[in-house]
Amino acid sequence: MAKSAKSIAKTIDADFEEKTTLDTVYLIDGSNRDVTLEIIIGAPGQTAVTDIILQDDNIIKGKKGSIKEFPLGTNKALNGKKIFITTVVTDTAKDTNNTEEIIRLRGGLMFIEYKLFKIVKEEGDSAIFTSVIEFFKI
Amino acid sequence: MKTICFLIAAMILSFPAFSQEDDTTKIKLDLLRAPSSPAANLLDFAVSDIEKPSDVSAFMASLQSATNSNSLLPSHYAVDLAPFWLFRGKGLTTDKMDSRKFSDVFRQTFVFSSAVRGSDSSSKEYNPANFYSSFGIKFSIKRGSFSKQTSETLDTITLLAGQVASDVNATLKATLDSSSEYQTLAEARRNKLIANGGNMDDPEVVAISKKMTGLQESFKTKIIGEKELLRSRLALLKQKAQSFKIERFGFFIDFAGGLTLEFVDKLFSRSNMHNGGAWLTFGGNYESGFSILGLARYLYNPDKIFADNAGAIKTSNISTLDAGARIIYNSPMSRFALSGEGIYRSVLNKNTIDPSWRLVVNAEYDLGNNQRLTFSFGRHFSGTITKGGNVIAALNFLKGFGNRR
Repeated sequence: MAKSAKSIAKTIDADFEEKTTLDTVYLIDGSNRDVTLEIIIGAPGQTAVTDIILQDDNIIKGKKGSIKEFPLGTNKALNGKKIFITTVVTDTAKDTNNTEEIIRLRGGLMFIEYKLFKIVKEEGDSAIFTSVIEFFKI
Repeated sequence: MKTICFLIAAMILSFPAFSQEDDTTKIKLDLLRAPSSPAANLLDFAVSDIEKPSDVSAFMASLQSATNSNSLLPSHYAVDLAPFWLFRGKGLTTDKMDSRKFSDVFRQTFVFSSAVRGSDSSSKEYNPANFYSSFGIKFSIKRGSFSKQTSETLDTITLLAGQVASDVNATLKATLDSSSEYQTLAEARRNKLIANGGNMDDPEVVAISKKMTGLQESFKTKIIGEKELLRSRLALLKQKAQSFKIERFGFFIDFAGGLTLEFVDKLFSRSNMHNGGAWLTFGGNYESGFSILGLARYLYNPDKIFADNAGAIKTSNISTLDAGARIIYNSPMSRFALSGEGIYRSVLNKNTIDPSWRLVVNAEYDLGNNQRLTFSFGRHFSGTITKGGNVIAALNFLKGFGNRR
Protein backbone atom coordinates (compact mmCIF):
# COMPACT_ATOMS: atom_id res chain seq x y z
CA MET A 1 0.00 0.00 0.00
CA ALA A 2 1.27 3.46 -0.89
CA LYS A 3 2.45 5.58 2.04
CA SER A 4 0.41 8.66 2.84
CA ALA A 5 1.92 12.06 2.14
CA LYS A 6 2.04 12.82 5.88
CA SER A 7 3.91 9.62 6.78
CA ILE A 8 6.48 10.24 4.01
CA ALA A 9 7.02 13.81 5.27
CA LYS A 10 7.50 12.48 8.84
CA THR A 11 10.06 9.90 7.65
CA ILE A 12 12.01 12.63 5.87
CA ASP A 13 11.95 14.83 8.99
CA ALA A 14 13.21 11.93 11.11
CA ASP A 15 16.14 11.49 8.72
CA PHE A 16 17.50 14.89 9.74
CA GLU A 17 19.74 14.65 12.75
CA GLU A 18 19.02 17.31 15.33
CA LYS A 19 21.98 19.64 15.74
CA THR A 20 21.94 22.96 17.60
CA THR A 21 25.69 23.54 18.07
CA LEU A 22 28.51 24.03 15.57
CA ASP A 23 32.24 24.36 16.16
CA THR A 24 34.43 24.44 13.08
CA VAL A 25 37.18 26.15 11.09
CA TYR A 26 36.69 28.15 7.89
CA LEU A 27 39.84 28.06 5.80
CA ILE A 28 40.88 31.33 4.20
CA ASP A 29 43.81 32.72 2.22
CA GLY A 30 45.84 35.89 2.66
CA SER A 31 44.01 37.87 -0.03
CA ASN A 32 42.15 41.16 0.23
CA ARG A 33 38.95 39.47 -1.01
CA ASP A 34 35.95 39.82 1.30
CA VAL A 35 34.57 36.87 3.22
CA THR A 36 30.76 37.06 3.41
CA LEU A 37 28.18 35.57 5.74
CA GLU A 38 24.53 34.73 5.04
CA ILE A 39 22.03 33.21 7.48
CA ILE A 40 18.76 31.61 6.41
CA ILE A 41 16.07 30.70 8.94
CA GLY A 42 13.34 28.05 8.67
CA ALA A 43 10.76 26.70 8.77
CA PRO A 44 8.36 29.20 7.17
CA GLY A 45 6.43 31.13 9.80
CA GLN A 46 8.98 30.89 12.63
CA THR A 47 10.37 33.93 14.44
CA ALA A 48 14.13 34.35 14.83
CA VAL A 49 16.61 36.79 16.31
CA THR A 50 20.40 36.63 15.85
CA ASP A 51 23.35 38.02 17.78
CA ILE A 52 26.85 37.93 16.24
CA ILE A 53 30.22 38.69 17.85
CA LEU A 54 33.27 38.87 15.58
CA GLN A 55 36.31 38.45 17.82
CA ASP A 56 35.34 41.14 20.39
CA ASP A 57 32.93 43.27 18.34
CA ASN A 58 29.19 42.73 18.68
CA ILE A 59 28.61 43.32 14.94
CA ILE A 60 24.96 42.16 14.83
CA LYS A 61 22.56 42.65 17.72
CA GLY A 62 18.88 41.68 17.76
CA LYS A 63 18.64 41.11 14.00
CA LYS A 64 15.22 39.73 13.06
CA GLY A 65 14.74 36.81 10.64
CA SER A 66 17.15 35.73 7.93
CA ILE A 67 20.28 37.79 7.26
CA LYS A 68 21.21 38.70 3.71
CA GLU A 69 24.80 38.10 2.58
CA PHE A 70 27.13 40.76 4.03
CA PRO A 71 30.94 41.17 4.24
CA LEU A 72 32.73 40.25 7.46
CA GLY A 73 36.14 41.53 6.33
CA THR A 74 38.95 40.51 4.03
CA ASN A 75 40.64 37.10 4.17
CA LYS A 76 43.76 38.82 5.41
CA ALA A 77 42.00 40.73 8.20
CA LEU A 78 40.00 37.73 9.42
CA ASN A 79 42.93 35.34 9.90
CA GLY A 80 42.95 34.01 13.47
CA LYS A 81 39.63 35.59 14.40
CA LYS A 82 36.53 33.76 15.63
CA ILE A 83 32.90 34.49 14.99
CA PHE A 84 30.25 33.63 17.60
CA ILE A 85 26.70 33.31 16.24
CA THR A 86 23.69 32.73 18.49
CA THR A 87 20.24 32.51 16.95
CA VAL A 88 17.03 32.00 18.91
CA VAL A 89 14.32 30.51 16.70
CA THR A 90 10.88 30.59 18.34
CA ASP A 91 8.14 28.30 17.10
CA THR A 92 5.35 30.63 15.95
CA ALA A 93 4.36 28.54 12.90
CA LYS A 94 1.11 26.69 13.50
CA ASP A 95 1.75 23.87 11.02
CA THR A 96 5.23 22.73 12.04
CA ASN A 97 7.57 22.48 15.04
CA ASN A 98 10.68 22.41 12.84
CA THR A 99 13.32 25.06 13.41
CA GLU A 100 16.34 25.44 11.17
CA GLU A 101 19.36 27.66 10.61
CA ILE A 102 21.57 27.61 7.52
CA ILE A 103 24.90 29.46 7.73
CA ARG A 104 26.68 30.20 4.45
CA LEU A 105 30.24 31.45 4.18
CA ARG A 106 31.73 32.63 0.90
CA GLY A 107 34.99 34.25 -0.20
CA GLY A 108 37.48 31.97 1.59
CA LEU A 109 39.08 28.88 0.09
CA MET A 110 35.65 27.51 -0.73
CA PHE A 111 31.93 28.10 -0.28
CA ILE A 112 30.60 26.28 2.78
CA GLU A 113 27.08 25.77 4.12
CA TYR A 114 26.36 24.56 7.64
CA LYS A 115 22.91 23.33 8.69
CA LEU A 116 21.52 23.35 12.20
CA PHE A 117 18.14 21.78 12.89
CA LYS A 118 15.78 21.01 15.76
CA ILE A 119 12.17 19.90 16.18
CA VAL A 120 10.94 21.69 19.30
CA LYS A 121 8.75 19.69 21.67
CA GLU A 122 5.87 22.08 22.17
CA GLU A 123 4.19 24.93 20.34
CA GLY A 124 5.93 28.18 21.31
CA ASP A 125 9.22 26.56 22.39
CA SER A 126 12.50 28.09 21.26
CA ALA A 127 15.60 26.47 19.79
CA ILE A 128 18.90 28.16 20.64
CA PHE A 129 21.47 27.61 17.90
CA THR A 130 25.08 28.51 18.75
CA SER A 131 28.01 28.43 16.34
CA VAL A 132 31.69 29.20 16.74
CA ILE A 133 33.69 29.44 13.52
CA GLU A 134 37.40 30.12 13.47
CA PHE A 135 38.95 31.78 10.38
CA PHE A 136 42.27 30.12 9.73
CA LYS A 137 44.94 30.53 7.07
CA ILE A 138 47.24 27.54 6.51
CA MET B 1 -45.12 45.57 29.79
CA LYS B 2 -42.87 48.18 28.23
CA THR B 3 -41.19 45.47 26.13
CA ILE B 4 -44.52 44.04 24.96
CA CYS B 5 -45.76 47.50 23.87
CA PHE B 6 -42.54 48.08 22.00
CA LEU B 7 -42.79 44.65 20.35
CA ILE B 8 -46.36 45.28 19.16
CA ALA B 9 -45.44 48.74 17.86
CA ALA B 10 -42.50 47.33 15.95
CA MET B 11 -44.67 44.57 14.42
CA ILE B 12 -47.28 47.08 13.30
CA LEU B 13 -44.60 49.24 11.80
CA SER B 14 -43.08 46.34 9.90
CA PHE B 15 -46.24 45.28 7.97
CA PRO B 16 -46.83 48.40 5.86
CA ALA B 17 -43.16 48.71 5.29
CA PHE B 18 -43.04 45.61 3.07
CA SER B 19 -43.66 47.28 -0.25
CA GLN B 20 -41.94 44.26 -1.71
CA GLU B 21 -40.46 41.36 0.16
CA ASP B 22 -36.89 40.63 -0.74
CA ASP B 23 -37.19 37.17 -2.25
CA THR B 24 -33.71 37.22 -3.67
CA THR B 25 -32.04 35.52 -0.77
CA LYS B 26 -30.41 33.15 -3.24
CA ILE B 27 -28.70 36.09 -4.93
CA LYS B 28 -25.84 36.69 -2.55
CA LEU B 29 -22.82 38.83 -3.05
CA ASP B 30 -20.64 35.99 -1.75
CA LEU B 31 -21.49 34.00 -4.90
CA LEU B 32 -19.12 36.32 -6.75
CA ARG B 33 -16.19 35.52 -4.48
CA ALA B 34 -13.13 33.94 -6.10
CA PRO B 35 -13.02 30.17 -5.55
CA SER B 36 -10.22 28.78 -3.40
CA SER B 37 -9.03 26.78 -6.42
CA PRO B 38 -9.93 28.30 -9.84
CA ALA B 39 -9.05 25.24 -11.94
CA ALA B 40 -10.92 22.79 -9.72
CA ASN B 41 -13.92 25.13 -9.56
CA LEU B 42 -14.14 25.32 -13.35
CA LEU B 43 -14.30 21.51 -13.51
CA ASP B 44 -16.84 21.24 -10.64
CA PHE B 45 -14.60 19.53 -8.12
CA ALA B 46 -15.70 19.50 -4.48
CA VAL B 47 -13.32 21.41 -2.19
CA SER B 48 -12.62 18.20 -0.25
CA ASP B 49 -11.38 16.51 -3.46
CA ILE B 50 -8.62 19.06 -4.05
CA GLU B 51 -5.11 17.97 -3.08
CA LYS B 52 -3.08 20.70 -1.35
CA PRO B 53 0.42 19.31 -0.78
CA SER B 54 2.56 21.37 1.60
CA ASP B 55 5.92 19.94 0.54
CA VAL B 56 7.51 18.16 -2.41
CA SER B 57 7.32 14.70 -0.85
CA ALA B 58 3.58 15.12 -0.18
CA PHE B 59 3.07 16.29 -3.79
CA MET B 60 4.97 13.29 -5.19
CA ALA B 61 2.94 10.92 -3.01
CA SER B 62 -0.31 12.55 -4.16
CA LEU B 63 0.73 12.34 -7.84
CA GLN B 64 1.84 8.74 -7.43
CA SER B 65 -1.51 7.81 -5.95
CA ALA B 66 -3.48 9.65 -8.70
CA THR B 67 -1.50 8.03 -11.52
CA ASN B 68 -1.52 4.53 -10.04
CA SER B 69 2.26 4.59 -9.47
CA ASN B 70 2.98 6.60 -12.63
CA SER B 71 1.40 3.99 -14.89
CA LEU B 72 -1.57 5.96 -16.28
CA LEU B 73 -2.88 9.49 -16.77
CA PRO B 74 -5.03 10.68 -13.87
CA SER B 75 -8.73 10.76 -14.78
CA HIS B 76 -10.12 12.65 -11.79
CA TYR B 77 -7.54 14.78 -10.05
CA ALA B 78 -7.29 18.35 -8.78
CA VAL B 79 -4.30 19.91 -7.11
CA ASP B 80 -3.31 23.33 -5.72
CA LEU B 81 0.40 24.11 -5.66
CA ALA B 82 1.87 27.06 -3.78
CA PRO B 83 5.49 26.99 -5.08
CA PHE B 84 6.90 29.15 -2.32
CA TRP B 85 5.48 26.93 0.44
CA LEU B 86 6.02 23.70 -1.52
CA PHE B 87 9.76 24.33 -1.56
CA ARG B 88 9.64 25.23 2.14
CA GLY B 89 9.93 28.99 1.62
CA LYS B 90 13.39 29.20 3.16
CA GLY B 91 13.98 32.46 4.96
CA LEU B 92 10.31 33.31 5.40
CA THR B 93 10.16 34.30 9.04
CA THR B 94 7.28 36.24 10.62
CA ASP B 95 8.95 39.63 10.01
CA LYS B 96 8.83 38.95 6.22
CA MET B 97 5.18 37.89 6.39
CA ASP B 98 4.21 41.49 7.10
CA SER B 99 6.04 42.75 4.02
CA ARG B 100 3.92 44.89 1.69
CA LYS B 101 6.39 44.77 -1.20
CA PHE B 102 4.62 43.37 -4.28
CA SER B 103 7.40 40.84 -4.98
CA ASP B 104 7.11 39.42 -1.43
CA VAL B 105 3.31 39.43 -1.44
CA PHE B 106 3.14 37.80 -4.89
CA ARG B 107 5.58 34.96 -4.20
CA GLN B 108 4.10 34.21 -0.78
CA THR B 109 0.50 34.05 -2.05
CA PHE B 110 0.87 32.63 -5.58
CA VAL B 111 -1.06 29.38 -6.10
CA PHE B 112 -1.12 27.35 -9.30
CA SER B 113 -4.10 25.05 -9.60
CA SER B 114 -4.72 22.29 -12.06
CA ALA B 115 -7.45 19.70 -12.53
CA VAL B 116 -8.20 16.91 -14.98
CA ARG B 117 -11.42 15.05 -15.62
CA GLY B 118 -11.60 11.99 -17.86
CA SER B 119 -14.56 9.76 -18.66
CA ASP B 120 -17.36 10.42 -16.18
CA SER B 121 -20.63 8.82 -17.20
CA SER B 122 -22.45 10.22 -14.15
CA SER B 123 -22.08 13.84 -15.29
CA LYS B 124 -24.25 15.26 -18.04
CA GLU B 125 -22.04 18.25 -18.59
CA TYR B 126 -18.93 16.31 -19.47
CA ASN B 127 -18.76 14.09 -22.53
CA PRO B 128 -17.27 10.73 -21.50
CA ALA B 129 -15.55 10.47 -24.89
CA ASN B 130 -13.57 13.65 -24.23
CA PHE B 131 -10.88 14.67 -21.77
CA TYR B 132 -10.96 17.92 -19.79
CA SER B 133 -8.00 19.73 -18.33
CA SER B 134 -8.06 23.04 -16.46
CA PHE B 135 -5.38 25.44 -15.24
CA GLY B 136 -5.66 28.38 -12.93
CA ILE B 137 -3.68 30.87 -10.89
CA LYS B 138 -4.43 32.85 -7.78
CA PHE B 139 -2.38 35.54 -6.05
CA SER B 140 -2.60 38.70 -3.99
CA ILE B 141 -1.56 42.03 -5.50
CA LYS B 142 -1.83 43.80 -2.17
CA ARG B 143 -2.58 42.55 1.32
CA GLY B 144 -3.37 44.01 4.71
CA SER B 145 -0.76 44.54 7.38
CA PHE B 146 -0.57 42.91 10.81
CA SER B 147 -3.12 44.06 13.37
CA LYS B 148 -1.98 46.10 16.37
CA GLN B 149 -2.19 43.06 18.64
CA THR B 150 -0.25 40.84 16.21
CA SER B 151 2.48 43.49 15.87
CA GLU B 152 2.71 44.03 19.63
CA THR B 153 2.97 40.30 20.40
CA LEU B 154 5.59 39.90 17.68
CA ASP B 155 7.59 42.85 19.04
CA THR B 156 7.57 41.29 22.52
CA ILE B 157 8.68 37.90 21.12
CA THR B 158 11.47 39.60 19.16
CA LEU B 159 12.61 41.62 22.17
CA LEU B 160 12.71 38.60 24.48
CA ALA B 161 14.41 36.37 21.87
CA GLY B 162 16.96 39.16 21.25
CA GLN B 163 17.74 39.43 24.96
CA VAL B 164 18.19 35.63 25.20
CA ALA B 165 20.41 35.52 22.08
CA SER B 166 22.58 38.39 23.30
CA ASP B 167 22.94 36.97 26.82
CA VAL B 168 23.76 33.41 25.64
CA ASN B 169 26.22 34.63 22.98
CA ALA B 170 28.18 36.92 25.31
CA THR B 171 28.27 34.42 28.18
CA LEU B 172 29.22 31.53 25.90
CA LYS B 173 32.04 33.54 24.34
CA ALA B 174 33.41 34.49 27.76
CA THR B 175 33.16 30.87 28.95
CA LEU B 176 34.89 29.43 25.88
CA ASP B 177 37.61 32.10 25.92
CA SER B 178 38.42 31.25 29.55
CA SER B 179 38.19 27.46 29.20
CA SER B 180 41.70 25.99 29.04
CA GLU B 181 40.28 22.64 27.85
CA TYR B 182 38.54 24.32 24.93
CA GLN B 183 41.57 26.47 24.04
CA THR B 184 43.87 23.39 24.11
CA LEU B 185 41.56 21.58 21.71
CA ALA B 186 41.45 24.65 19.43
CA GLU B 187 45.25 24.79 19.39
CA ALA B 188 45.45 21.04 18.60
CA ARG B 189 43.02 21.50 15.70
CA ARG B 190 45.04 24.36 14.22
CA ASN B 191 48.28 22.34 14.47
CA LYS B 192 46.66 19.35 12.84
CA LEU B 193 45.37 21.50 9.97
CA ILE B 194 48.83 22.95 9.39
CA ALA B 195 50.28 19.43 9.38
CA ASN B 196 47.71 17.97 6.94
CA GLY B 197 47.61 20.97 4.59
CA GLY B 198 44.11 22.13 5.57
CA ASN B 199 42.25 18.83 5.24
CA MET B 200 39.04 19.38 7.20
CA ASP B 201 37.97 15.77 6.53
CA ASP B 202 40.96 14.40 8.42
CA PRO B 203 39.48 12.01 11.05
CA GLU B 204 41.58 13.66 13.78
CA VAL B 205 40.34 17.13 12.86
CA VAL B 206 36.77 15.80 12.74
CA ALA B 207 37.23 14.17 16.17
CA ILE B 208 38.63 17.38 17.73
CA SER B 209 35.79 19.47 16.24
CA LYS B 210 33.31 16.96 17.66
CA LYS B 211 34.84 17.28 21.12
CA MET B 212 34.77 21.09 20.90
CA THR B 213 31.13 20.99 19.78
CA GLY B 214 30.29 18.74 22.75
CA LEU B 215 32.09 21.09 25.12
CA GLN B 216 30.28 24.12 23.70
CA GLU B 217 26.96 22.25 23.99
CA SER B 218 27.57 21.45 27.67
CA PHE B 219 28.55 25.08 28.42
CA LYS B 220 25.40 26.30 26.66
CA THR B 221 23.17 23.90 28.62
CA LYS B 222 24.83 25.04 31.87
CA ILE B 223 24.39 28.75 31.03
CA ILE B 224 20.67 28.28 30.27
CA GLY B 225 20.13 26.09 33.33
CA GLU B 226 21.92 28.34 35.80
CA LYS B 227 20.72 31.79 34.74
CA GLU B 228 17.36 32.51 36.37
CA LEU B 229 16.75 35.60 34.21
CA LEU B 230 17.38 33.60 31.05
CA ARG B 231 14.94 30.87 32.09
CA SER B 232 12.21 33.36 33.02
CA ARG B 233 12.66 35.14 29.67
CA LEU B 234 12.38 31.81 27.84
CA ALA B 235 9.20 30.95 29.79
CA LEU B 236 7.63 34.31 28.92
CA LEU B 237 8.78 33.90 25.31
CA LYS B 238 6.98 30.56 25.12
CA GLN B 239 3.81 32.05 26.58
CA LYS B 240 3.84 34.92 24.07
CA ALA B 241 4.64 32.60 21.13
CA GLN B 242 1.76 30.30 22.03
CA SER B 243 -0.70 33.19 21.97
CA PHE B 244 0.67 34.57 18.69
CA LYS B 245 -1.72 34.54 15.75
CA ILE B 246 -1.63 36.45 12.50
CA GLU B 247 -4.48 38.92 11.95
CA ARG B 248 -4.43 41.37 9.06
CA PHE B 249 -6.17 44.68 8.56
CA GLY B 250 -6.05 47.15 5.69
CA PHE B 251 -6.49 47.24 1.95
CA PHE B 252 -6.15 44.10 -0.16
CA ILE B 253 -6.46 43.07 -3.83
CA ASP B 254 -6.65 39.40 -4.86
CA PHE B 255 -6.80 38.00 -8.38
CA ALA B 256 -7.79 34.54 -9.59
CA GLY B 257 -8.26 33.18 -13.09
CA GLY B 258 -8.38 29.96 -15.03
CA LEU B 259 -9.57 28.11 -18.11
CA THR B 260 -10.58 24.61 -19.12
CA LEU B 261 -9.57 22.87 -22.33
CA GLU B 262 -11.70 20.11 -23.80
CA PHE B 263 -9.83 17.49 -25.81
CA VAL B 264 -12.36 16.03 -28.23
CA ASP B 265 -12.08 12.23 -28.53
CA LYS B 266 -9.10 12.60 -26.17
CA LEU B 267 -6.97 13.89 -29.06
CA PHE B 268 -4.44 16.60 -28.26
CA SER B 269 -4.79 18.11 -31.73
CA ARG B 270 -8.58 18.56 -31.32
CA SER B 271 -8.88 20.85 -28.35
CA ASN B 272 -11.16 23.79 -27.66
CA MET B 273 -11.92 26.07 -24.76
CA HIS B 274 -14.65 24.59 -22.58
CA ASN B 275 -15.01 27.37 -19.99
CA GLY B 276 -13.02 30.03 -18.19
CA GLY B 277 -13.18 32.72 -15.57
CA ALA B 278 -11.41 35.61 -13.87
CA TRP B 279 -12.13 37.00 -10.41
CA LEU B 280 -10.96 40.22 -8.82
CA THR B 281 -11.55 40.77 -5.11
CA PHE B 282 -10.55 43.97 -3.37
CA GLY B 283 -11.37 45.90 -0.26
CA GLY B 284 -10.22 46.56 3.22
CA ASN B 285 -11.11 45.88 6.81
CA TYR B 286 -10.02 48.15 9.61
CA GLU B 287 -9.77 47.82 13.35
CA SER B 288 -12.18 50.76 13.72
CA GLY B 289 -14.98 48.44 12.53
CA PHE B 290 -15.20 49.77 8.97
CA SER B 291 -14.86 47.30 6.10
CA ILE B 292 -15.36 47.42 2.36
CA LEU B 293 -15.47 44.56 -0.12
CA GLY B 294 -15.54 44.73 -3.91
CA LEU B 295 -15.97 41.74 -6.24
CA ALA B 296 -15.84 41.44 -10.02
CA ARG B 297 -16.27 38.21 -11.93
CA TYR B 298 -16.00 37.38 -15.63
CA LEU B 299 -17.13 33.92 -16.73
CA TYR B 300 -17.08 32.25 -20.12
CA ASN B 301 -19.64 29.44 -20.48
CA PRO B 302 -20.70 29.39 -16.81
CA ASP B 303 -22.70 26.49 -15.33
CA LYS B 304 -25.40 28.95 -14.37
CA ILE B 305 -25.91 32.53 -15.51
CA PHE B 306 -26.18 34.83 -12.49
CA ALA B 307 -28.38 37.29 -14.39
CA ASP B 308 -30.70 34.54 -15.62
CA ASN B 309 -32.51 32.97 -12.68
CA ALA B 310 -35.15 31.44 -14.91
CA GLY B 311 -32.62 29.69 -17.18
CA ALA B 312 -34.03 31.45 -20.23
CA ILE B 313 -30.87 31.24 -22.30
CA LYS B 314 -28.49 28.40 -23.01
CA THR B 315 -25.03 28.69 -21.56
CA SER B 316 -22.93 27.85 -24.63
CA ASN B 317 -20.69 30.62 -25.98
CA ILE B 318 -21.87 32.98 -23.26
CA SER B 319 -19.77 35.56 -21.46
CA THR B 320 -21.02 37.14 -18.26
CA LEU B 321 -19.74 39.98 -16.13
CA ASP B 322 -20.97 40.36 -12.57
CA ALA B 323 -19.79 42.75 -9.93
CA GLY B 324 -20.68 43.70 -6.39
CA ALA B 325 -19.62 45.80 -3.46
CA ARG B 326 -20.38 45.83 0.25
CA ILE B 327 -19.62 48.48 2.85
CA ILE B 328 -20.04 47.70 6.54
CA TYR B 329 -19.59 49.93 9.55
CA ASN B 330 -19.85 48.12 12.85
CA SER B 331 -18.06 49.98 15.58
CA PRO B 332 -16.88 47.67 18.35
CA MET B 333 -17.88 50.32 20.94
CA SER B 334 -21.31 51.02 19.46
CA ARG B 335 -24.61 49.13 19.18
CA PHE B 336 -25.29 50.59 15.76
CA ALA B 337 -24.26 48.87 12.51
CA LEU B 338 -24.70 50.24 9.00
CA SER B 339 -24.12 48.34 5.77
CA GLY B 340 -24.74 48.80 2.08
CA GLU B 341 -24.59 46.25 -0.71
CA GLY B 342 -24.79 46.59 -4.47
CA ILE B 343 -24.79 43.90 -7.16
CA TYR B 344 -24.52 44.34 -10.92
CA ARG B 345 -25.12 41.43 -13.28
CA SER B 346 -24.97 41.16 -17.04
CA VAL B 347 -24.64 38.88 -20.04
CA LEU B 348 -22.09 40.37 -22.41
CA ASN B 349 -22.78 38.75 -25.76
CA LYS B 350 -26.59 38.18 -25.77
CA ASN B 351 -29.32 40.76 -25.84
CA THR B 352 -31.99 38.50 -24.28
CA ILE B 353 -31.25 39.76 -20.77
CA ASP B 354 -30.44 43.38 -20.03
CA PRO B 355 -27.89 44.29 -17.37
CA SER B 356 -29.51 44.93 -14.01
CA TRP B 357 -28.51 46.05 -10.56
CA ARG B 358 -29.62 45.83 -6.96
CA LEU B 359 -28.80 48.15 -4.09
CA VAL B 360 -29.74 47.64 -0.44
CA VAL B 361 -28.88 49.64 2.66
CA ASN B 362 -29.23 47.96 6.04
CA ALA B 363 -29.20 49.61 9.46
CA GLU B 364 -29.20 47.62 12.66
CA TYR B 365 -29.43 48.62 16.29
CA ASP B 366 -28.68 46.16 19.05
CA LEU B 367 -31.18 46.85 21.86
CA GLY B 368 -29.48 44.31 24.14
CA ASN B 369 -31.14 41.30 25.80
CA ASN B 370 -31.19 39.46 22.43
CA GLN B 371 -33.25 42.21 20.79
CA ARG B 372 -32.38 43.86 17.50
CA LEU B 373 -34.08 46.43 15.35
CA THR B 374 -33.14 46.27 11.68
CA PHE B 375 -34.13 48.45 8.74
CA SER B 376 -33.52 47.70 5.04
CA PHE B 377 -34.14 49.96 2.10
CA GLY B 378 -33.10 49.69 -1.51
CA ARG B 379 -33.67 49.01 -5.15
CA HIS B 380 -34.21 45.54 -6.55
CA PHE B 381 -32.97 44.19 -9.90
CA SER B 382 -35.07 45.78 -12.61
CA GLY B 383 -36.08 44.59 -16.01
CA THR B 384 -35.45 40.97 -15.19
CA ILE B 385 -37.74 38.23 -16.36
CA THR B 386 -38.94 37.29 -12.90
CA LYS B 387 -39.35 40.68 -11.23
CA GLY B 388 -41.61 43.63 -11.79
CA GLY B 389 -41.15 46.33 -9.18
CA ASN B 390 -37.91 47.41 -7.70
CA VAL B 391 -38.33 48.75 -4.17
CA ILE B 392 -37.22 46.83 -1.11
CA ALA B 393 -38.17 48.18 2.29
CA ALA B 394 -38.45 46.28 5.53
CA LEU B 395 -38.40 47.15 9.18
CA ASN B 396 -37.85 44.10 11.39
CA PHE B 397 -37.74 43.61 15.11
CA LEU B 398 -35.91 40.48 16.20
CA LYS B 399 -36.24 39.10 19.69
CA GLY B 400 -34.29 36.05 20.77
CA PHE B 401 -35.19 33.57 23.45
CA GLY B 402 -32.72 32.34 26.03
CA ASN B 403 -30.20 33.97 28.28
CA ARG B 404 -29.99 37.73 28.30
CA ARG B 405 -26.70 38.90 26.80
